[in-house]
Amino acid sequence: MTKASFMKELESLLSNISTEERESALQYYEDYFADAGDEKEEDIIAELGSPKKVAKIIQMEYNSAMHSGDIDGIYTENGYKSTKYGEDKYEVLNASEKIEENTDNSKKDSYYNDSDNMYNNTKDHSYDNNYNSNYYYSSNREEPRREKSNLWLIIILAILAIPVGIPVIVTVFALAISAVAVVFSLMIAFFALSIGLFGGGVVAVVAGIITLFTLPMNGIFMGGVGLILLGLGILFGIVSITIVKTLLPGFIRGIVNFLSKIVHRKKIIT
Amino acid sequence: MVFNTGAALLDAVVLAVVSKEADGTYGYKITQDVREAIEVSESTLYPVLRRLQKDDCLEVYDMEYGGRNRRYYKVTTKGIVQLNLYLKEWKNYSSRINHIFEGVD
Repeated sequence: MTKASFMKELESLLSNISTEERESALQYYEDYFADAGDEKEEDIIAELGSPKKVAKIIQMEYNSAMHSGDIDGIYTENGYKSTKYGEDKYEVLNASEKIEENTDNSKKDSYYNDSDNMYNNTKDHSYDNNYNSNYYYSSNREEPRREKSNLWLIIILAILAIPVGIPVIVTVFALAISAVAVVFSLMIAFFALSIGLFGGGVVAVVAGIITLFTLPMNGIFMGGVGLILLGLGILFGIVSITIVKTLLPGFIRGIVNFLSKIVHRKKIIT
Repeated sequence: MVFNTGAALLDAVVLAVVSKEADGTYGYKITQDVREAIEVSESTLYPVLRRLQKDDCLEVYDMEYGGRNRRYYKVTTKGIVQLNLYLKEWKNYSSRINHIFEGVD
């Protein structure tokens, strides 16, 4: 595989994480290749394995970062208790071997297949705990079970919530659509108003000039009214253009963000 | 390499390696330096660096090198504090292991 196709595949595999994270990762590897030099390119690609492996490692770190709290660990008199290393840790040397294709259930499954894997996962999160293989296996089995029962609970809850949920969702949806419709019609109204005022103003000014020749006073009056209408028309025109320029992009961006948040959340749960 | 490196130890090693450069250092060099001590895959270090950065133990800055921007990693004060905690733990831990091994013939 060439570096270009490797990076391209990596980029598409990372499409489900945030843009900032994806670009940071891609930039890192581009820099890595560049710093290593062209002659090392093949070796590096061979060692990285496949774009899939690299992407999985990045995604797992991303997911665990999304879930873990802020406190990494506290220093107690019994030693350093790491509050995060108990949970999500991987065997770094063999991580790339352990990554199997079906790790979307529990990321721990991929890490704990190797019986050599000793240190990290202990129940009470204390990393100076002794190596205890029974301990280790039981906590291994607990996790997948917990994950499955959580999923079932969620499914049952969803089913029970349908009678109430569906009308609520429909109402919310309808309200959203009508809100959008109102905003749109206001925009159109403003536009129409400005065009109408402008047009009317032009007509009045023209008529006024013509009347000047017969009834001067009337003519001046009409011209004046026409100018007022023109002014109002221009004013409304400016207002409607500003509305379109600011509201519309913001609106669309808000909708896209909202939708992508939903899509992302789904991906993380599964 | 017989013994596997846990995540905490890896974090400590990375922090130590980066802290040795006063002005910081870049990804490829960090990987080479870490590999002098432990066998890590080239894909292992990016998540570690990223996490350390997110935890404010490392900060990044870009500097031009050879016509492109190179990203440098540098230890923060919090990173040094964390590193010192790790060093203290390591001393404790390694001395206990050594003690066990010493009794063996």
